[in-house]
Amino acid sequence: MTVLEHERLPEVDERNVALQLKLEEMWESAPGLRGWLSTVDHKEIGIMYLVTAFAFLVAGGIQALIMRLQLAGPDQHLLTPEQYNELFSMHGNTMIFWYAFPVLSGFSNYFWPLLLGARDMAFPRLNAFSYWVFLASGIFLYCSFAVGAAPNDGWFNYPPYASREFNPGPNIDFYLLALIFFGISLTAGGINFVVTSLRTRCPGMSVNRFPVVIWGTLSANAAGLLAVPTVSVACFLLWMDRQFGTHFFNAQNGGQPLLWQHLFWMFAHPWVYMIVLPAMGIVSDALPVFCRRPLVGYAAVCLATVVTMMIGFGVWVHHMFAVGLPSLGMSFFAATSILISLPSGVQVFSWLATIWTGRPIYTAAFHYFAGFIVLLVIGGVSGFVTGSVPVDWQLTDTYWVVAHIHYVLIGINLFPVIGGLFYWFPKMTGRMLDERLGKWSFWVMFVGFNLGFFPMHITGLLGMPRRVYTYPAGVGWTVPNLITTIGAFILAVGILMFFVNVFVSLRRGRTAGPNPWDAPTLEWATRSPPPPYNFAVIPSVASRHPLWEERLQEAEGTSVVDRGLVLDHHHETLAVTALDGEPDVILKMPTESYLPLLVTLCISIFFAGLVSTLWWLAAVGAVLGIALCVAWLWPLPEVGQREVPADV
Amino acid sequence: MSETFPYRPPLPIGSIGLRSSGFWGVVFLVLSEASIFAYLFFAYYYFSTQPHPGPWPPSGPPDLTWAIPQSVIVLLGSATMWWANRGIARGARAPLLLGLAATLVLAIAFLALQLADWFDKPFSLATDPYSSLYFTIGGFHLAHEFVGIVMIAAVLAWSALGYFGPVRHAPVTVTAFYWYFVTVIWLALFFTLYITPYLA
Repeated sequence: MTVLEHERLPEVDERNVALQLKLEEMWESAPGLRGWLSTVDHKEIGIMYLVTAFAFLVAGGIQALIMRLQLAGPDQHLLTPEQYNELFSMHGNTMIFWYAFPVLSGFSNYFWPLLLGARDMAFPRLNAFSYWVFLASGIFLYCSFAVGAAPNDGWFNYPPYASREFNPGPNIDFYLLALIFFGISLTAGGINFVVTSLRTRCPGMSVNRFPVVIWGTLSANAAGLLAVPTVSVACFLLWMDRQFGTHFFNAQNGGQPLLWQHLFWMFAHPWVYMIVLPAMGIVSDALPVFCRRPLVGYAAVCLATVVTMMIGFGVWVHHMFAVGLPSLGMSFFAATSILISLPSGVQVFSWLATIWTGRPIYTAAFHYFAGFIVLLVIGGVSGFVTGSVPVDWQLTDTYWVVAHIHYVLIGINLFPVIGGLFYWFPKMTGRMLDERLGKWSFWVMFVGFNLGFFPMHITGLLGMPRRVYTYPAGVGWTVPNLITTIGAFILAVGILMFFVNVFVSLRRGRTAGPNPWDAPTLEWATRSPPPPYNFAVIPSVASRHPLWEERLQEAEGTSVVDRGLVLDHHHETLAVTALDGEPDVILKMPTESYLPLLVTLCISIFFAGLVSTLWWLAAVGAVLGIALCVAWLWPLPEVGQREVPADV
Repeated sequence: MSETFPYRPPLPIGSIGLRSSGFWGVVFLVLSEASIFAYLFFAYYYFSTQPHPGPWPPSGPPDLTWAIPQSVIVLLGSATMWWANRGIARGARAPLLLGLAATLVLAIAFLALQLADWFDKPFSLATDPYSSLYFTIGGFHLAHEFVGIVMIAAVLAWSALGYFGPVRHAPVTVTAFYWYFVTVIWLALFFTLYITPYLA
């Protein structure tokens, strides 16, 4: 082994075939199953994230449809109350945790290095690890169905019903441990995104040139590093209460059930912004492409993104207005809850102005983004009014809140995600999705969604509580519930049409070419699908729209995409200074590894031991996991983590 | 023929000091771990400020017999760690090995004192909310202490194998940073669990 040099003057060259062939061989993953299990390619991991997240969307969707059948008419007995409890709990957990955030991580994993002009994320193996843990924790959660004891206390799992006394089975233990398990994935992914955005970019990619989706995902993941520990701590404490008789939440022994609510919502309110801000970023980047102009108010939108996330940490008590807190505290949190609509408003007006002053092209993606704006406004208003304490007292725990949460989560997450897939599918696969079927699926989804969820506002105002497994006839809830059920099925048909579109277009879609939308950002400067090394030469950028510079004439210099740093000594990418994007260091990236998967398996054994209270099994998982972590972190000479002794 | 990069001095390659990805990673890991403790302390202060029957803590302010020596040891451990890291940055292996070995011994001594403190307690984990908090928060710190011990042992072994030099020693820097964090958390814990009951 040759000693790795400490520094060098990197070469600059034109993009050329010889270089591309050399890099191809260097960066390509192994073929087949072996390659899939050991890959560290951010694009493959991104697709794995997307596919897995959509699988969870389908699972959660089927649970929702079963519940809607149960609620289609009064006094039905398709489901028992316990089955209903388990379904609504699993539906909420699946959608909010295992679909909504990972789907955005999938986009970000795939596109961050491409948007930033890098060859990979900062921590490729950690990237694979965060995916495997996401998958394993989801499987762990669904094992609860296999043993007939799924979580049954909703996605926010309030004690005392969640305590051992009232819920003696393993149902709640699955919830608590699955969330802690999933938190490992979120933390690993969060660190990776934050460090990537600060480090692995191309020269000239200063923070004021970040695409908005970078700002959205960065805000979300930085917030996750601070917020996820709350729910992990809360889950751990409740698990201790259940397993070892501690007294954190059981009131009869001096515990504080309200502490759970505080800890949970201190996490969960930032979380709901975490699962919408990256999606809003997708719209801020992709919508202007279909309006043929740059986004109106880039700086205001980025600031609004960051500010929304920050205020998002200061509104959690609005989930607890009905529990009897001091009115001074409630007034404060009512004020912040109303305040947070201001930065969201900034973004809405920015998108409207972009459409208004642009020349819109009514593609399927544009339809999804425009629909998203409508749903965001409706969901925003229904949330804004419940920020007021007396209104909240009237509406809390009714279907009004269910309507609100679905308008914001489906409206601000699912619609931009599908719009984003129409936009980026050509880049990921080299083929276009079918536009005509796309517009049809949009209208079916949009009509189904509004037919399904708008009447929930009415059922809520009529006083129907959420989370009841059935309701009597003659109280005025029958008609809106039936309409909701019909709408839910229409929405499902729309989503199914989208899936059909994906499967058909994968084989028969029109060939895309590198830049089918004539879009301005770096991911469109490479071929579709991108080669494993992303960019043959590291580009350098001089503006926010490197591919539109000639038309916009906004750059101080000129972006160059076909000439730049070669970096062809093994897996290399550039790290830049955090703010200005000046070249700082040449990073040596690790290659394929089974370690992320193996460590995930050890953690799975550990959690399996905990949930089955086989402590020896948990110990085996922990010891093996620690040993493998040491192996993982063993300093490698080829990535420059250690010297090679002179006598070798 | 290709040319070289025009507008910079040569760029460093690979994992170097504060420019290594590992260091950036541990900074944000520590940020997240620190929030775990922030929320645990929040839970402690929440309990101590909500109405509770009898005094807080129920058994009176905790005994400082073990906690004060622990604080001294933990600070000494950070000092020896700093010495080790500075040593290798100057290319000196003796301070690196001695400093890491001393830190390891001090860390194990800390662990022993912590366990002694726990066995001295008249209450157990399930006695009341205070005891639950006391052992859980201490346990979280102990778990971080344990992870630190594993890291220090690994870095000591790698140092003995001659892996590190004045340029390439990022694992030492990363471990040192993590160890300072464990120290700072202990000080916060010491203030919360051991000092505030005397201030009430």
